[in-house]
Amino acid sequence: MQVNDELKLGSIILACCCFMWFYAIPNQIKGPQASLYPQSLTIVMSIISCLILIKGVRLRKNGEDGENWTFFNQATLRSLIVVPMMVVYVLLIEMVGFYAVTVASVVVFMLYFGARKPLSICLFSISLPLVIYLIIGKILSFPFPAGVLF
Amino acid sequence: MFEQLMSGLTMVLIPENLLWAALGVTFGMILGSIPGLTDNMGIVLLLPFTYYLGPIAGIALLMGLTKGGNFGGSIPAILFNIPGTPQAMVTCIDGHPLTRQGKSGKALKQALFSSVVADACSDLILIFLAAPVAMIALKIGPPEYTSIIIFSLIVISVAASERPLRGLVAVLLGLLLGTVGTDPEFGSTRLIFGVIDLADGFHIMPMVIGMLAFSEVLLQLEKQIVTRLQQMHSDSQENLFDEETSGDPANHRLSWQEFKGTLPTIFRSTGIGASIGIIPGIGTTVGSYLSYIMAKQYSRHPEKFGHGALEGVAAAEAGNNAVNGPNLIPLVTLGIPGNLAAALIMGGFMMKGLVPGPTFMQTNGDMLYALFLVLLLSNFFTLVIGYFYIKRVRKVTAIPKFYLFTGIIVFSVVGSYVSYASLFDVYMMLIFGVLGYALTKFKINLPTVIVAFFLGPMLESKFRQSLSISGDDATVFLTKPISLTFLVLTVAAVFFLLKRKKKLMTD
Repeated sequence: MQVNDELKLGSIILACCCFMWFYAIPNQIKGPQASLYPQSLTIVMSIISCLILIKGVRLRKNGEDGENWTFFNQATLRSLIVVPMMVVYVLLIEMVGFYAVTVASVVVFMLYFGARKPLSICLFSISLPLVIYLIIGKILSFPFPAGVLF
Repeated sequence: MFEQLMSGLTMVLIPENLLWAALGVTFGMILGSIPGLTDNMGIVLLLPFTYYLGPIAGIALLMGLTKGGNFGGSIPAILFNIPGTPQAMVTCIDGHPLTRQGKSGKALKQALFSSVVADACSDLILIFLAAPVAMIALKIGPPEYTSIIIFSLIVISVAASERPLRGLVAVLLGLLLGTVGTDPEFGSTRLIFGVIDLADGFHIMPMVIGMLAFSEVLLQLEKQIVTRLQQMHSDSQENLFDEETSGDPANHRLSWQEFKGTLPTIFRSTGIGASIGIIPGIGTTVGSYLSYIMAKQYSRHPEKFGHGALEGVAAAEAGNNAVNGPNLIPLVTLGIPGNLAAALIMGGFMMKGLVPGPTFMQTNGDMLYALFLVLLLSNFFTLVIGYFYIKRVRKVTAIPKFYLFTGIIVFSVVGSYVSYASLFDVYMMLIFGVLGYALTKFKINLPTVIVAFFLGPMLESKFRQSLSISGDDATVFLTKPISLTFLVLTVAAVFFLLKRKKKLMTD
């Protein structure tokens, strides 16, 4: 029988509460008075996580699968590839410059999202940063990281 | 009052003042419709220029800007699921599904008309109730604040989620995220794990953009990959990234019957938004969200909410805009700004040598009523300018998904960066995006997390102040009549909502 979402969620929240109670609050907050509010929230959160766990166990006992989200499936992993792509994009902004990296990134993202016409890719990759440059850079005089290029 | 009103009217009806109000509305609408650029940012940018204008013209520009920005924020919320302003996030819930059904024009018009009606009503409330209501607001102290916030959070957690336990998880998660940063009483940093950029806590724009916009890109992308994989198995050659929306112009029209059907929701939401607006600091997001929840509870078709209900758009926009007028009541009568926009407008007043406070109405009554009338007239500009603006802007929906996804990603980066000019915020946006994606998978309501995050610091400081003034006596919340009323209301509301939910499930 699969582990249902109730059991997964309850366990994750309870683990987070344990982390908060035993590590984060004692090490990151000074004094008992300052800890009172986060501690109260953690206690309520752990009670709720226990209630969710109990619900999950009941569902399992009754032979119901409930909802079940599996992280390691092809579609999830392929959609989450966008996250490291974004990290690289942001890392390069500071080094190379916002506008230059945005032009290149728009091309990469459009190809990944399924665009195939070179003309539309070229036009969009230039026009989008240009609009940002005109409105935010010029009219509002907001500076973006320039980097070694632009 | 009538004499001051008439005197104010003659001061307002000068073309220059009306022109500045119209310019403010236009500028605010454009800024609001660009994710990350809020009306507040516009006020900050324009504030120095109002120095060169007359007192009414300068304040009219700023007030027009907040009105335009408030509606403008709903445009990207409906078209791209990116709230242009934080308070527009509730509009995403039903506005964007309408866009996906090819009814973006209908959703935008509903948002515009609901905004204008609610805003005009809230301005009338401001004009006629400013002085009497200020007397009650004066009596609201920390214990009452605490009870009102607890009431809002508990009602939201129970009403917003299909499962109340998950609603409570959302609220507690938001409150816990709000504890990161600096302790409001002792001034020491907490839960920042050595990351100095977190000393001010999580910034709201990266959080909102990450959770609502970036996570949506991930979810939509995943959905399309699933469909593509299924189609690969069935050997279909259809392009999955094509726009889903229909080009039928009838889908974009909002009929009088449709609008009439949402009028009760608009007026109920106006009442909720206006009541919340009177209390300083609670803000437009709560007004919008509570209105939405109530609209869902009272709707004949609650199952349509979240899937493109016009009532949902109407409630969110009316609740959001109705906060604006009464939000100025504590500012003009007590000198207490109800929100950031009010604080900036207060700055505008002070630049003109006008100090809002208890005597403001007596010394500058005609000018004050002139400003109230400017607010009322600005709604007409919002209606006209907004109507033409949405006609142009909705054509954007006809573009394919790869443009939209790429545009959302780039604007998410820009929107999270511009608020504090910090790339750290962009990384935070990515983290919140992944968190939002995971929470959605576990059916945890993201707007509830964000509303709780908004109210967390205020709840903490008011709770501590209450205990401090009562000598650590927790019964202070039960001995104050307004506080006790809200606590009783909380229990009654939870009971009512759970009962209604159970009835809906058995039906």
